[in-house]
Amino acid sequence: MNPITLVTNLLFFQPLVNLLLVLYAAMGRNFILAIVALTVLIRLLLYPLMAQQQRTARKMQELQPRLQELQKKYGKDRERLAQEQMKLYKEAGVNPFGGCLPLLIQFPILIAVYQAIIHVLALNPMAVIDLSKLIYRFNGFPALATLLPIQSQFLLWDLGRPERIFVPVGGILIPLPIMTLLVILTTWWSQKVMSPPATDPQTQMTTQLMNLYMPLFFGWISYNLAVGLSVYFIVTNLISVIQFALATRDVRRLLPRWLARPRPAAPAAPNPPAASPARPKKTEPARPSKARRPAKEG
Amino acid sequence: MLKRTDRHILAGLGILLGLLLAGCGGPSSSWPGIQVGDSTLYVADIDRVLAVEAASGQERWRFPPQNGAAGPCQGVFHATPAVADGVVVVAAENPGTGESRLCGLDRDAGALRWTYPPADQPPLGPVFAGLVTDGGRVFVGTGDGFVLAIHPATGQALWRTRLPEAGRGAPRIWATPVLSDTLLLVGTMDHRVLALDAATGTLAWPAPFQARGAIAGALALDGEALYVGAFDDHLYALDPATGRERWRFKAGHWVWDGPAVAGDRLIVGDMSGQVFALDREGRPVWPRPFQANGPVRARPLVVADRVYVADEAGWLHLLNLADGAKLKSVNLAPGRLLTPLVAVADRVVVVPTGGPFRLVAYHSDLREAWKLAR
Repeated sequence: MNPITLVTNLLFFQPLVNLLLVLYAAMGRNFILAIVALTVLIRLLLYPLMAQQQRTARKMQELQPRLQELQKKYGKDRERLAQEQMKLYKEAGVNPFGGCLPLLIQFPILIAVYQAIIHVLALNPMAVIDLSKLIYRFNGFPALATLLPIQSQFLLWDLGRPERIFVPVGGILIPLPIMTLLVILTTWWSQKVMSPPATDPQTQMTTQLMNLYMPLFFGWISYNLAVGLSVYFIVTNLISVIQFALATRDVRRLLPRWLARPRPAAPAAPNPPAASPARPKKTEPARPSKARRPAKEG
Repeated sequence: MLKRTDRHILAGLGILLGLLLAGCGGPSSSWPGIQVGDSTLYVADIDRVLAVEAASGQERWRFPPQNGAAGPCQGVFHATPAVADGVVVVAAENPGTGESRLCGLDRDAGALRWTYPPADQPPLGPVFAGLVTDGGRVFVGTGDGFVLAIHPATGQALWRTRLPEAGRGAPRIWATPVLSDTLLLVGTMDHRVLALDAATGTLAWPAPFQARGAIAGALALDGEALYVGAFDDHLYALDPATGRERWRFKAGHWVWDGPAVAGDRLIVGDMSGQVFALDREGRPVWPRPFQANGPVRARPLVVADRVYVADEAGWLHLLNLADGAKLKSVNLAPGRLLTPLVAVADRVVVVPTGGPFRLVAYHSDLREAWKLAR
């Protein structure tokens, strides 16, 4: 084993495997709950980074009107536009790349979580050979090893294998990838909720493409890899959305637009509220989309 | 907040992530299996089944044949084959789904005679346990809790039993069962040993034996006792007629395979690499255990007054049976030695997992006799 793999295993991967086993025991030997608990713990550990990302996103939203002005003013001179934008970011104390770090950190974590799930489920003898080297022993007693084998079956799914559920329709077997669809749906939802507003049509198009592409990409990964990873994706997406809602204190933003649209004031109201439910246009986060979102309160 | 270029970088990273995750699976789920019959070695060596002359290392046949198709018997081969009634019975696993079919190959030519279940029926669960035979029947345990008896000449199922669950889902059978008179003794990953009537497949003991750890390796029998290794670091000795525990021995780590039985000695290895010699009451007889260079998964081999121990690091050790002193070691790394050793025609034969050789045969003093390259 090369030194980098050895150090990574000792410091990161091995603790993760054992933590998953401890959580499995703590959750009454329910592996899906163990994955959920592990995901929540990881999100709690990453919370400072995620909060930083969301703060950056909020500041960027506040800068949108000024960015749009710059766009109008220097739209034809891209070099000057970039200079002015950077100047504005600097003045506002915003690092436009600050949002990338938490996302980048999530990739190695994702790989480690997937490996931990697969190793702990150890669905074949070769995997158990590997697992035997990772499980901690306490005073020479194999306490965690007595948990093996992990019960990997959950309802219709074997958490250690790709989702392959078929339903017969007219004599033909049609795949029914429920977990994959949930991954696509929750990824789309969290992307949609957390995507910052675009400043120009090109960025808007890119955002729209990413909002379509990323859910499909994660759906593709989920369909081809163990269902346990789908559980991780789904819980991560839901926690992201909840964290975002708590940070922005705007639950309406989580709803579909047709549901979140404020009701028109009752005609009989003697004193209509002085302020519209939506913010004045100049402070509203600009989103050059077809339907304007209701702005957050306060 | 991500700009367009950042999103493209992220998209690229996402694709990389997909490739990394997709590449997480290993090439094989288990190690090769080997069986001896009439001075011929029958090896389920992952991508093929081989029949090899034990004395010379000459290949007699292979399946699938060169430039030939495997027909309905497609997949990887790792469960120890059984040889009965002129047929070599092997299990072919679909590496994508883990499902398996049994295949009957002609012992002399390697031609496919039958598959079970037939190609138009759903396959079995994964078969990791070695196949065992009493000459007239071949017994198979599956990874989804079934035990079957197959007629080796025809491939017809004689009986099929689903083991009862014990709160851990379908009991996975990875351990090679053992026959004791009329009983088939089966160890399971859910910590149990059960006895089935070999003629009918019905449960025979009043209650299964319950260990504290998974039972994954081959059981061993010496006529007096049944020996079972478990992932709770113990080797158990049971009464084969009732399943009652007689004694237990605490090793230094998981005990995967049962012991080699040689006269009044039991030789057993553990996953910390220690090898112990015990008497028939489970008491250590060597002054100290032998320490190998890697985990000892496979059952050691005893020939006359010598013990052969294979470890996962690729070392083959020759020990003195009387006191466990090391006489010689040879290294086959990068091959890992996970398959039990076999002795045939004055040769000790090793089947490495990985590395440049499929088979390596040694004289009794570990001088090399022949090698079969991959």
